[in-house]
Amino acid sequence: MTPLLSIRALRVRFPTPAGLVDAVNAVDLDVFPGECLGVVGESGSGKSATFLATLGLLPSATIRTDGIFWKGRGLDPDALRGREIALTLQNALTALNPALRIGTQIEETLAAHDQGGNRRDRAIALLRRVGIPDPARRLYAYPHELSGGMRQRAMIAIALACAPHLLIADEPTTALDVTVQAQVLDLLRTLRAEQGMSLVLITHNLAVAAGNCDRIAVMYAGEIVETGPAARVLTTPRHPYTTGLLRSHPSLDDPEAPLLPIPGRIPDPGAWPSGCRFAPRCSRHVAACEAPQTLRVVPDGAARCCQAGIA
Amino acid sequence: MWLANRASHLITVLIGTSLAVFAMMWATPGDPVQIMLADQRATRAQVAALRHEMGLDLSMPHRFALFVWHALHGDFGRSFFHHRPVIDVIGERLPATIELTLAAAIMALLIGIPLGLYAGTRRVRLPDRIVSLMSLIGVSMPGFWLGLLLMLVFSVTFHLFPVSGRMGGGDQPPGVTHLLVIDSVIAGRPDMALTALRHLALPAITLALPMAAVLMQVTRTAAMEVMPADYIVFAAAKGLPRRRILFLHVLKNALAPAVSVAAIEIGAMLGGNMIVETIFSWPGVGRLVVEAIFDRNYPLVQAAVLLYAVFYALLNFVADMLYRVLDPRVAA
Amino acid sequence: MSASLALSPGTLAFRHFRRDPLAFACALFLLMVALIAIAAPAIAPHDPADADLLRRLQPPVWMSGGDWSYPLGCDGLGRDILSRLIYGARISLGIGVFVVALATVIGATLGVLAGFVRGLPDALLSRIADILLGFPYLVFAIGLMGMMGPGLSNIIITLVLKEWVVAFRVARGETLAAREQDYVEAARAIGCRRARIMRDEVMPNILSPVVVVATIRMANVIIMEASLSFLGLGVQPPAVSWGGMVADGRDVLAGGWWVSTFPGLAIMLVVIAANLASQGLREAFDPRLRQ
Repeated sequence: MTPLLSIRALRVRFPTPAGLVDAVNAVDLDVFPGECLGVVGESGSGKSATFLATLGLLPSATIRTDGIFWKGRGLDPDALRGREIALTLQNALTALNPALRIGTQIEETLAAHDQGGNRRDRAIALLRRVGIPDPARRLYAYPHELSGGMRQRAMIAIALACAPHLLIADEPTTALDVTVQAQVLDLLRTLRAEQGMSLVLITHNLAVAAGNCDRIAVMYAGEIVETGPAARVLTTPRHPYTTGLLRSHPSLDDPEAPLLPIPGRIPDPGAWPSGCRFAPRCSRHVAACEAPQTLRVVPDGAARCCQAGIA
Repeated sequence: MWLANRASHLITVLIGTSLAVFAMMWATPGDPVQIMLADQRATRAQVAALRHEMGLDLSMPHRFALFVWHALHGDFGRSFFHHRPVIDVIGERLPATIELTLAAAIMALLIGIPLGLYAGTRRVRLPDRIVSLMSLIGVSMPGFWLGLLLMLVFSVTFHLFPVSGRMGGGDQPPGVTHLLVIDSVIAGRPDMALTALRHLALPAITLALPMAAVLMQVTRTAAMEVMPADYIVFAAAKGLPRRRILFLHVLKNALAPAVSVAAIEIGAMLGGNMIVETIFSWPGVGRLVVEAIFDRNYPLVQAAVLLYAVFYALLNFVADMLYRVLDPRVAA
Repeated sequence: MSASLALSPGTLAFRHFRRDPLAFACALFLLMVALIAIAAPAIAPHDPADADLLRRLQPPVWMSGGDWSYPLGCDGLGRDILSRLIYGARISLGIGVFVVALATVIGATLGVLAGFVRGLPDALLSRIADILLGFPYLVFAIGLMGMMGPGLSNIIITLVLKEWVVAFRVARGETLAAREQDYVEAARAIGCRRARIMRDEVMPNILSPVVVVATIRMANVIIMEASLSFLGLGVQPPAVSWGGMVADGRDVLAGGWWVSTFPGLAIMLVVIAANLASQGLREAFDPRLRQ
């Protein structure tokens, strides 16, 4: 099956006062039609930067890649943004223009992509579809007048306005409380089923990825360290970082079990280790870890570890 | 409710302002009556009669109450110099000042805001630095010097613009709005409109420059703060064309602080008027006030200061309301 | 960095300021002008009031008819422009510094009082401040000077009357924030009297924002004084002010452009320097503003 979105060897660097900083290094990613890909990692792992760079939303960054493909052809961000690929951001309060009404922000998306028909009606239908009550009135509301959960839904409504094939949701639940999180995730699941839309779920929360994704890609320090089907990655991780992440999450099976945090801290972006970037924190550190690691194919996926494939 | 709050604040300020203006009379050296009678020999009885007529023999609070009462009725006494009611004298000269201030304000808005927007949203530093330099010069250059320089270059050396007046002694169009450019257009006389514009040009530019410079700075700073915001990234992610992002999303958020500043700057223009009108012999209220000062024509000075202050207070009130419209978060 | 913890915020800010070449250069320029002004009697080649109609409208040295003894030419009464510029600096710069200093002392003191004590003094002072702010600056200044009459003391009174409000608001705002701080609570808890707290705890901490604002205001005061002098409402002859010099040149614009141009240029350069230096100072104290 041809992937919908295919990223090869993406490298993103940002200029800082201290020089160029590697935010994303050698990322290969595929997103297949109809699937939900979870991209999991701590903040600073490069997960947002990967997709922002792909969509051409990082004008100050230097971007190198062997190729980014959409449906098998070269990806043109300007043509696809908002139309076939949509993005939502973490904090809906800051993502929506505080000086414009919700209706305006929906309708302008429709207008930008030349969607015919009565835009106001379509906007109301979109709001209804994401579960916002009394949508006709809400059209005239300002973002700060809505609750957190409704704002998130409104942002999703805007993203879906032109029925995109792929929705990239950057931390869709992080700014919400737990009950609202579940609602939003349910909404995304329903919308996916209705439209056959692919979803990239960027999150630092393994549990969110676990419950919703078909495949998971784990990122650390700007690199992909493991990919694979969700079930496999969560039960049989092949990279020590993934193992560490799983161990540091509370488990329903054994609520009394102690949480084991990963020792150490993620290094500063300017100062990545020259070999394996996880090596300083890894309990399975060997001499071979001093060399830069490549992504190795393992049963059901890939892992960036010199010991992957070894039980 | 904030409206009632602001309105009561406005009224307090207006009362306080009238008190302050009234108190200014205290500051004058010399006796107003003696000044009025400066040229004539007067008997004690005449002096006393004049004092009584001017209400100078009443108590201070009484005088203040009368002052406010008369002011509300538009009665500011009689001008020493013109021997006519002050309000009439001011009224005659008002359209000239209005035309000048309006032209300058429009010019400043049309130059300052777009340039500030441009400077604040470019990635490249160069246009930004140029605009910053321009605005630094604009706020640092004394208005009276700029006016004289413009006059020197464009009127005296190159004879491109006239040196003084509104129509230079030519015919005037029939008075509809008493704004000569508009009246000329209404009367279908483009030649008159052109003459009026030529006379208006240098004074208006002189008056407009400081305000344009400040607007440039404020809009630039506001735009720079808005550009990295999440909602701009999201607007780009939606696929909106760059022009719409700039002129709607960025501008609407950058405009709010610019509006407050614009109100203050127009207030500053009320003072700047006095200088510009003096330099260019523009027959407006500003020049009238300066002349009145040297004529010791205190009722007129007092009335003008009070009217300016009232106008400024109303202006700030309107700007406040406009700010709330532009930034809906403030109303919450 | 542990080293920076040991330095006071003032010293730290001064170091940053020193590293900003533009702002530092402007500050040095202003210092130089101040020194020239102070040393005027020693530096100025001629008596600024010395008029000789034979030298009337003599052009600057680089034009035909000019000579080195009157490098910037003479005005309509034959007085040396250069000497008048030097003496004029005393008024223009002097009033700027003095008015801002006086207004800041008065305004900051009242501001701390209002912010700390609250209640009636605060309400009263804030109302007065609002009323004074309700007048456009130049309108107020011209109106009051017009009523009071020209002269050095009247200008100072008028400008201080408008300027104290700025320092008042800054000091009051900072005090309102400071009084919530723990160190004020602690002082109160051990029984310090209010006046002592205001003087010893609050004032040192609000000093930097107040000083920064004061330097920013100087540019404005210089322009105001010049504008008043231009209209003839400023200091009176034989005192020399740059604004007055520009006004002198107005009548002879066609025949002697230098009479108005040089004093106006002086004003602009000093104001630009004041603006850039105070901007640099503000950035030195608030790292967030550095771009």
